[in-house]
Amino acid sequence: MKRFFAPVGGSSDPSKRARGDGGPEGDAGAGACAPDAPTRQPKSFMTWNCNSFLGRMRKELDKKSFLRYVEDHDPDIIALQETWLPAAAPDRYDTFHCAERVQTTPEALPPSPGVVVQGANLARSQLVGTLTFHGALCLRIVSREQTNKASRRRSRRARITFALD
Amino acid sequence: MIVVFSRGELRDDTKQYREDKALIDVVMRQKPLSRYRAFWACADIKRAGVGVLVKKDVEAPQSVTRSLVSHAKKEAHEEGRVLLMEFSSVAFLNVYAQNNGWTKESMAKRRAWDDELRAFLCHESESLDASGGATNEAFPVVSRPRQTDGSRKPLIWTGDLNACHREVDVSHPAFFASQKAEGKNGKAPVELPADPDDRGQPGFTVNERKRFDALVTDAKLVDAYRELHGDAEMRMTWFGHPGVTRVGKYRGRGMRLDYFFVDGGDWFRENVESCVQATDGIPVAELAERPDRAFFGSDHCAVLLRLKSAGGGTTSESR
Repeated sequence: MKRFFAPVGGSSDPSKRARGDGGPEGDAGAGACAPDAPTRQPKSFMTWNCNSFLGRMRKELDKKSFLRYVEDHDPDIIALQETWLPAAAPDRYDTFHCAERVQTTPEALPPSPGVVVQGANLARSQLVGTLTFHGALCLRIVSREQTNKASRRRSRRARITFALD
Repeated sequence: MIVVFSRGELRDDTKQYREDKALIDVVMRQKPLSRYRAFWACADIKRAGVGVLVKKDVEAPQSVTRSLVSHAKKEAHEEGRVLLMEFSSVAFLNVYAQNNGWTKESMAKRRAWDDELRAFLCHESESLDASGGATNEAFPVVSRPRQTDGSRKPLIWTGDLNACHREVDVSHPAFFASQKAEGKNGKAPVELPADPDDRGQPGFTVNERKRFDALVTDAKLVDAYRELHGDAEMRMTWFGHPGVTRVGKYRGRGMRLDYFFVDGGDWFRENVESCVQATDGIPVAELAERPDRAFFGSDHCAVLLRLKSAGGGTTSESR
């Protein structure tokens, strides 16, 4: 069913271009447009090839020395390489990001209404009832069926059915 | 079927990956990293990948890009080697360069990587800018971020560039120039490359250095550290093999692989305050042990670039 969706590059609308994309708290740049959003420009930059960020952060001594350096020099920006943190897997659909990441075109829609997306992560989309896709298409969530109750908090897997309004 | 990796997010589809991600989340919630927001560019496998942590009291990036080629072709580099961020005053590019390796295939990959970088850093096409390179498939390049008057934003290009710019950027030039591939697990090593300029330590081959130098010259970028410290010797950012300091032929031998390349000329004079490598001031004998205070357990040390805080920050002042 995923074939109905194609990835949107950085989005053709520059104002939407992945602003605050991928923050650890998933705040997705919520405050970026706020009038009191910070405007201070970055002045200090640090780079470090960490040779596995996970490995470094697992070792107390490595972690301590890294954090000590950050504390001492207080850089505005820290660039890391070789993080060795793999990307979210392809079968993971996060409806929170659907509006940004997924686009449908009229041709891509099935002849009959009702698209089923499986394995979506609904953890952060409890309040989402309608998803607006690029191209001004509105898909209504018809049903949500929770399939994995075990890991309720972190990744609630569910089967969602969308209908074309 | 289109397979889409969310390369800006960490994997969390198995218990192990969730635990890994949770560990990173915990570190990011503790001081001092709690002051930062993380942006990731991930590979599809547990290799490579880059990240940029941005202070929360700094302007949120105006755009975040994970590829140097047109979005129509590729949303994100599949090995997570690129993170490009645009701020009001500067463009910030963090890369983990493709290693030249010893084989024909890896060298071809390195060449392709260098071409990609060159296309991004050096192209001048104005017509591209209307779409920001996002829709133009024929021109496979992301546009360099521009200022409102159409001129390029000053660029700060950093990362593990996996190449030594000049001879002074390795500790033992003759040693690195004469390195050959070693056979692994009893297998014969790969054949010497036909072109003698492809021979030697990956990162120090003549061809790589030639391309590197031509690239930064054409892009009018300068090596901030060398600009400020001249040709000082033994200023390495990488020492020995990963995980091995006590033994091995690379013990005590280092390369300078981590750089800050920035706009030269007026912009440099008006804006750059300092560039410091964490290994600065550490005695050479100690460097072979990769002291924790500079390397934090990695085989690379940290490098720090500081811009002047008064003046020069805004575009009007710097241009």
